[in-house]
Amino acid sequence: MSTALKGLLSEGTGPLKSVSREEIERIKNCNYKVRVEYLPSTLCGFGYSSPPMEVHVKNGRIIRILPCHLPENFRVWEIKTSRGTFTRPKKSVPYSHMLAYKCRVYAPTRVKYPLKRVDWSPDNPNPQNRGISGYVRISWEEAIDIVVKMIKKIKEKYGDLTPVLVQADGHGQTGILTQHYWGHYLFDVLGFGWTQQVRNPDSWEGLYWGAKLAWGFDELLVGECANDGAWDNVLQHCEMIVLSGCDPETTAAAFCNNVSFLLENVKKAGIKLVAVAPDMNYTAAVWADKWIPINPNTDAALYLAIAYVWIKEDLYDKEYVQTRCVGFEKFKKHVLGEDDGIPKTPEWAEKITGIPSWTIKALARAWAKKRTSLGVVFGGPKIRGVYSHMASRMEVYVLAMQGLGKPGREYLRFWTSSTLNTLELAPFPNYPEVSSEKAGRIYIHPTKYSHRAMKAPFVKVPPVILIKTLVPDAILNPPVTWWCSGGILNFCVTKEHDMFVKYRYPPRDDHPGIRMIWNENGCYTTCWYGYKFIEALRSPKIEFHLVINPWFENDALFADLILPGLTDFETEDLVVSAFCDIVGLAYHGKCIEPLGESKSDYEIHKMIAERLAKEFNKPELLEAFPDIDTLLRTRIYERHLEYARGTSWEEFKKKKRIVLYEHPTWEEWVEIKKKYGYDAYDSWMTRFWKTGKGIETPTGKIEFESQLILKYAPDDKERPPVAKWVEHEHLPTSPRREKYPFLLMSNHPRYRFHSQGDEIIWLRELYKVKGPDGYMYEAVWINPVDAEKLGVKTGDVVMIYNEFGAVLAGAFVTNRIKPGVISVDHGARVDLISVEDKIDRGGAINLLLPPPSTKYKPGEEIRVPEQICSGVLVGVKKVDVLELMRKYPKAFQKKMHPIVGPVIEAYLVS
Amino acid sequence: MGKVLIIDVGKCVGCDSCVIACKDEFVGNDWSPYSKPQPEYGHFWMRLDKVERGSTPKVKVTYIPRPCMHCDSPPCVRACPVKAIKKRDDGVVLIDPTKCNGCAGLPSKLCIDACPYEAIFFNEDLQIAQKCTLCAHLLDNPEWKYGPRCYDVCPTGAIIYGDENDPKIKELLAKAEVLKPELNTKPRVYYLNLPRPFIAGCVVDPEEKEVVIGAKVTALELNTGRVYEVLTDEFGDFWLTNLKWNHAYVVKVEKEGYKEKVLGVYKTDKDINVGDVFLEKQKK
Repeated sequence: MSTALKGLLSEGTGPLKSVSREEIERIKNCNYKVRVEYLPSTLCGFGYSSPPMEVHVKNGRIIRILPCHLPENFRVWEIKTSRGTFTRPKKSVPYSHMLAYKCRVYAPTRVKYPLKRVDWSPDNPNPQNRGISGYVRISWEEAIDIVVKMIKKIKEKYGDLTPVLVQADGHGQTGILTQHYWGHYLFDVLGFGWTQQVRNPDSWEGLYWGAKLAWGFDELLVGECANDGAWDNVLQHCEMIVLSGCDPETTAAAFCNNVSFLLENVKKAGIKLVAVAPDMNYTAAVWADKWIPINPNTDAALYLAIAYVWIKEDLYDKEYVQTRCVGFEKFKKHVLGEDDGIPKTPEWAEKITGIPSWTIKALARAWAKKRTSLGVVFGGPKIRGVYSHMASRMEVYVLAMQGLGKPGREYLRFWTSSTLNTLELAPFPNYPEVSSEKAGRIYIHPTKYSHRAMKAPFVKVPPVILIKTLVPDAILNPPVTWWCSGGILNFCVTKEHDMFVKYRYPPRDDHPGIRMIWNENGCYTTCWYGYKFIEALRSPKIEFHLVINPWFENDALFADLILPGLTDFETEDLVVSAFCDIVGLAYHGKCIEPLGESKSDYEIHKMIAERLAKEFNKPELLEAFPDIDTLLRTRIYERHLEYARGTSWEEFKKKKRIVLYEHPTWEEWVEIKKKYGYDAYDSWMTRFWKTGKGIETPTGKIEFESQLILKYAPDDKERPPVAKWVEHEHLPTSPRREKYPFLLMSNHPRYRFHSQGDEIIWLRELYKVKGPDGYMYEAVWINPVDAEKLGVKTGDVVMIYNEFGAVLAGAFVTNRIKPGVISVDHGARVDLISVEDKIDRGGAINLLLPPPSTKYKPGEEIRVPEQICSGVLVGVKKVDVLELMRKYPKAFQKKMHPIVGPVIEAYLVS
Repeated sequence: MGKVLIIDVGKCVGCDSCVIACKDEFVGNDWSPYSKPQPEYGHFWMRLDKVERGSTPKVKVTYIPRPCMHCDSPPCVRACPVKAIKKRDDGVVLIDPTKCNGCAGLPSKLCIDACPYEAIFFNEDLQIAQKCTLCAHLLDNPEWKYGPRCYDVCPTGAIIYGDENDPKIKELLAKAEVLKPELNTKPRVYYLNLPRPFIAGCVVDPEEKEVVIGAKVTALELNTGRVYEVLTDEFGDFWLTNLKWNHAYVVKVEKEGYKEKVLGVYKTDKDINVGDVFLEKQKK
């Protein structure tokens, strides 16, 4: 036990506050006779929950799902400022898809038994029928036989298991046993090599490829600067926040439970909120004082013009750029057009961004005059498009020009995670022992540390690396070569330097490439660039495509074998509350029996491991997959908080099923900050401003000119040492616009979590658009000006198309989207009308998005394998669905649920 | 004692939690004698109206949660031919699921037709009318501490539940209003900060290509003579807020050095974005 923790405990002011199960049951449920369980409250995955939701169970049924109620005397943080005291509510309300989870558990798309594609066999895989032929129920025994047989076959045929591509670490359910992870673990322990599909930074593309080069912060997850203590600075000093494309009411809430109190605090402090985004998103709609509609992914032009105004009108912090930054003069030359002959004036930017030049000037002056912070949180149209890394670096430049870290000037992340974007201290008052890995024993980071620790004794052969964004190219046009392992390798964000390391796939010329896909996430088709992925999944090179998923959706349509996963409600598990300001741990029992023959991801992998242990005579597989109770106790629980407290596992399971840690008082927090060298309202960046220390770029300063690019790729045109304006084909000024006149923006979904939850009836009812054929179409936002030109009204079905194919959507005519832009949230369920003709009815908009390789010539080295998930030019036209129905009768005759769309029976054959 | 809900529209962020929590409590759950299970889809015992106001880029969105109003003079009670709808002493209006016969044999569902708030739904499977019960099955249980589900789940405190005699509630009620007061159904669901119309725009000097900051924008309410006044902010924007619905306003922009500009007469049957207002410089 660390001294710090001991001290806190013995003083009695400690962070420990536990509510026993008995207590809660006694208080609330005497008459109800319901069983109370605490379930993960997010679909983040990685074991990263927020305060657990309270689930009431009776007679094998889920009765209700409640928010997390903290006890009245539970101490939550307070930030005391001259503007008043700010705090958070003693209730943590999960996002709507969690409150509606019953609909997911009992969804008509649940896979309840192992399913095999009817015309697949090991010797005759019929790859051309993936997406076309139906499925038959088989037994678990038969299913495990097939999996083991295919693993053996690949090994015998190709020598090792590197032709197996394992994708198992994206978002998913948040239980330890239900998360996407176990495939990686299994193949690591098996020890015959494998190909790891490295997850790219899918929600912070631009930041990862861009901002990191300007300010370092390699240790942080998202390429953003540290937010230690940032809210103290903002609530005390800030006068204006520019919400840069971000939508905390949607994106942060889906991770951290509801975060409205952050916005409430901002307003209470009298801070003006300016939203810069193509859409008036759900946060801007209720909180913003000013909406500045901008064309998607043109933020670089806006930042250049703002810098232009500041330079011309002498409105920037010269001392800061001289003493805390390097390379400003070169950026200044680019802004003034001294290098390329184009002064980046507001008038120049108006043509690109669609923002009137007078508004750009007004924003620039207000930003300089008022103490302004930039508000961000995941997603957003500005960091998910072509070259969005350039905008992201320029964002750092403009912040530096106004003295980042000075009073009220922060780069502020609008969420409540106390760990992921901080280095020492939380963004809100919290004990470092609770929030920080460096300081604490309590710190809970289930995936990053536990899993690494639990794998360590077993891993002997490291996997071959393949970046997720290049998977289709690696299958269809090998070899591919690229820079950077990907982004999130073994649950850690790769170091900046990794961006300049070259990789290739297949690893050798005589390597067979990918032959088998182990697919736990099952969302290639709807979360990436689907039509290209579909082509790859249907390739004859793929001998076996295994999908493990509780729902029949997306990639499952192209699987050879589907193993039925289950929901968190159908298993016991631990809940780790680590993705928010309230950290803690809970244990839950099984709420209901598993539906059909479904099993947890862990159990499925354990079954496979047990067979493989025999086949390959590898007893270590048995050791690596213990029974569930032993797993949770030894690999998670004993490595974390209760171990430090000396509470036994049995006792924890029985009595202390939920432990949440209280926050320090404001006075304690100020003392803690002092120990770390901060004044009361200082943030990490304030300390940098004051001391010049705390940034880990090669120069230790904010780099307008990246020393790493200078060192490794000084002539890189795509990513020059100083970020600059680059033309590309998806700009509003591009000639492509004649053929494809609309800029498509695609944000993180309001009513799903990426691809998760599109089957939830109660949410679909709220936002899908019912077409004339009765089908519930994914909504596309169209401005009234454009709707008139297109001749569409709300409720009409439109076709969105480009050279990759077409997607149908239901028109929602609204003033909440900029003219010239359409918006479709990503992640809707794929429902192809025709695989050959590439028309989708489900509204899976990412089917249309271009792979990063389209920017390169065939065989060319891909330097920035970014994922382009928004800001591309497409065509839109009204369609007659009834005519499509006549042309593709079979697709329209699938067995449907009136709200959910195709049900599992639609894909089964007898 | 009378139970009331007070819904502060100004605090509602439109998260849909109340809608979902309501469905969570009632879909598939049988709370007889209070209510029979709500069908899988199609019913909104708590509905969230999403009101989009103004036009790009002067847009605001107002969310209005709308449960049953539990009227003290309930038209549904009077309309029911079999006396299945009861008003309880605490103000809650309940449809008895065993008494309701779905207006069998009648050409329409009388309570549904009678309700001016569209709060009653018909369950085709059970052939009964159903609606919000204010979670009476929970409120009646002394062990239940959380109030109605919509109130419990609301993350921002936009939905307030309590007793009308509670001093704190009384204080709020003094400021609150009801929907469709002219119908005089005496709802027990009250609202704070219901939207009032706005007239907004942006004042620009087209010659300089600059916004005009600090211009005085006035709206003269024609039939009362009342004048609303704001100055344009650092973005040249003005928002004349809290106007009255369906009144006529003469809007005028003045700024030293520029010619005064009368924008015209606007009727507030909706929120109005007048767009960019170009001011002409006064000749010296």
